[in-house]
Amino acid sequence: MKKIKLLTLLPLLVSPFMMTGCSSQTVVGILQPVEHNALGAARQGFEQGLKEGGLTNFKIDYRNAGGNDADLNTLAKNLIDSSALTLGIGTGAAKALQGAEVNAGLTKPLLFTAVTDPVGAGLVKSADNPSGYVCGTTDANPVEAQIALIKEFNASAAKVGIMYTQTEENSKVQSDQAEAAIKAAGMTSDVKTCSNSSDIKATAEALVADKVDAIYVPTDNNIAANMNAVKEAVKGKNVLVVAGEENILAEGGHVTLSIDYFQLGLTTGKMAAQILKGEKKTTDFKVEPVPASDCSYVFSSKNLEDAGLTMPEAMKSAHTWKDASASK
Amino acid sequence: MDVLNIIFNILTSALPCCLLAIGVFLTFRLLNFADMTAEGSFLLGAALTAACIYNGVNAFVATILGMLVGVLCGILTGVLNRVLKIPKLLSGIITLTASASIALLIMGITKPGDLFATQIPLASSLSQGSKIQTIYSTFYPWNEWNRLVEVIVMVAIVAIVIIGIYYFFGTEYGMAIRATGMNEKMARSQGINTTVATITCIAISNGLIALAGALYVQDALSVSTVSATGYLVIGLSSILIGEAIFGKRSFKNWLISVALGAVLYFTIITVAIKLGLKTEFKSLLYAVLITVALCIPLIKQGFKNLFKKKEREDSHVRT
Repeated sequence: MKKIKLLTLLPLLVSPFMMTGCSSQTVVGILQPVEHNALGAARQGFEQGLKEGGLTNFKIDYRNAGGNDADLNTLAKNLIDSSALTLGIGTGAAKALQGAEVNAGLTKPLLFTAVTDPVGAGLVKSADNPSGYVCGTTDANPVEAQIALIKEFNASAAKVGIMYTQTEENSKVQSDQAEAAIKAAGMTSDVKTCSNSSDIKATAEALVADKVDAIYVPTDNNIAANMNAVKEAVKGKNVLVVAGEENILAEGGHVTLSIDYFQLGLTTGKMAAQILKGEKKTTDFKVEPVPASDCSYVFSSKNLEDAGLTMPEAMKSAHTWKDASASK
Repeated sequence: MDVLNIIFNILTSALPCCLLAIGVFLTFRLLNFADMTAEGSFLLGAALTAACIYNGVNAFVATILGMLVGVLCGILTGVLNRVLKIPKLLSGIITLTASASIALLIMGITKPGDLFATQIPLASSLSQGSKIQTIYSTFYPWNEWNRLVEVIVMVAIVAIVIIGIYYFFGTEYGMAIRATGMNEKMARSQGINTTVATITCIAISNGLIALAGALYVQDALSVSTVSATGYLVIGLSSILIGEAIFGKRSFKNWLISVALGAVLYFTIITVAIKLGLKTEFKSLLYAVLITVALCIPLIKQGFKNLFKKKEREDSHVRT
């Protein structure tokens, strides 16, 4: 019986030795925490950016943790060993890679993208001077310009609701910025948080019951994945939903001034190519937010119609709009 | 070096989970108590340890504090169940729910001027000679052998825990707890205070789980409110895999099996990923793994029967 047990374990013990076959290709590791439209677009942009940056003979090792934090760390540890450069998409993934590198005593270049607050997350010391082997691009939204859309839509708007998931650090940062922007625009804000996907609808309904004129939804992963709940809550209530980015508009939400995650990934990919070719170091880059001029105005005609809203002509003609529901 | 690194990676992920598995094992198997507190105490252990270390507390003190917060969680669940007579599953869920808010508060310690925080980043403040050190980094040579040191520290802690648990459950009181789990009415008739015994066992169990969280956070170097999701499943799978493959002939054997189960679990996952398993299929792999582990006793029995039949046939021929 003992022998049988040992035999079952043998392949497991031997298999790590079979994986060591190395090739001369440069391996670029990508870690993504969860399947998500915006994060996926950033990844495709990154891969495109590597090619456009002139990097040849490279292999991409892409890992997705499927929303499981326990896996995120295991995947990160394995990625940093096999890759020449790693990319963390989103705050959680970037921090997992960083933690793994510190513990392993490595200083391989680590790039991040789609991180809203890299300084707060401890990824870089300051945005202007990243220092060390970590750098990347941030997806900080043009929150102020997004809040301005509310006044354009309804000049008499006085109260704006903000909703986000209390466990998402990125959302809290945006919520604070939105609060400041709302105050600066002469309106009052009403912040409500939800704790998971099941109380999103109740949170949105509570905001509607508080008679808000608009609701601001930041790039909150939890709410973004469950926008239908928000859509149901505002139906026929004359409440405009302003989203943090365009992918949120697919399921619910009405207007946004959105950054382009593909573009964000593309910029990061080009940075990676320069680093891997030895032209630049991670310390040569700054962490810069996307300029508002690179953002595009997006609305969802279908969601507006479903909610019983129409966009004023003046607002329609003021910007070049992209219809999120038309692309579907 | 590559192979060594892979082995180190597996062990640094798996060893904290050995403690988690043993913790879950104490309630799930010894006490027959399906304790949902696990993920709550894991998170609180991780959060408190990280918060203390971030504020410059000695890492060993921080780890012990992290463990104690788990003990408190366990006592709470025990009291809810035994004193307030709330069903087992529900009392665990109550503590688990409460822990989400408590974790936000604990992490808030690191953010002056803010009551709550949703994350603690340790990685950036940890370096050679800095004031902030984890229990592993205190011994680091700060080169590629860091991970070996980490593994050694973890193995030492896990070994101490296993030996401690083994001796404790061999004492008279430990036996009383095991008796309570096997047959509560019988235990009570023997003069055992089953209420205290139950609460003690849940407290020890959650203390170990929180210790696992404390070891985990010093390896991951960051903690957020979602850090603990999925760990109860890992603990339960480790128990099932360990029992099925390494057996449960005696208490000592059982305890070691459970710990090895966690190592085996992470080995299988890492090897599968290294061999090119699409990460999207990971959840499916987990399901298959647990099913196979649960079927192993059946397969073993089948083998035994096969051999026995042969023996009988052989002896028949001889006579």
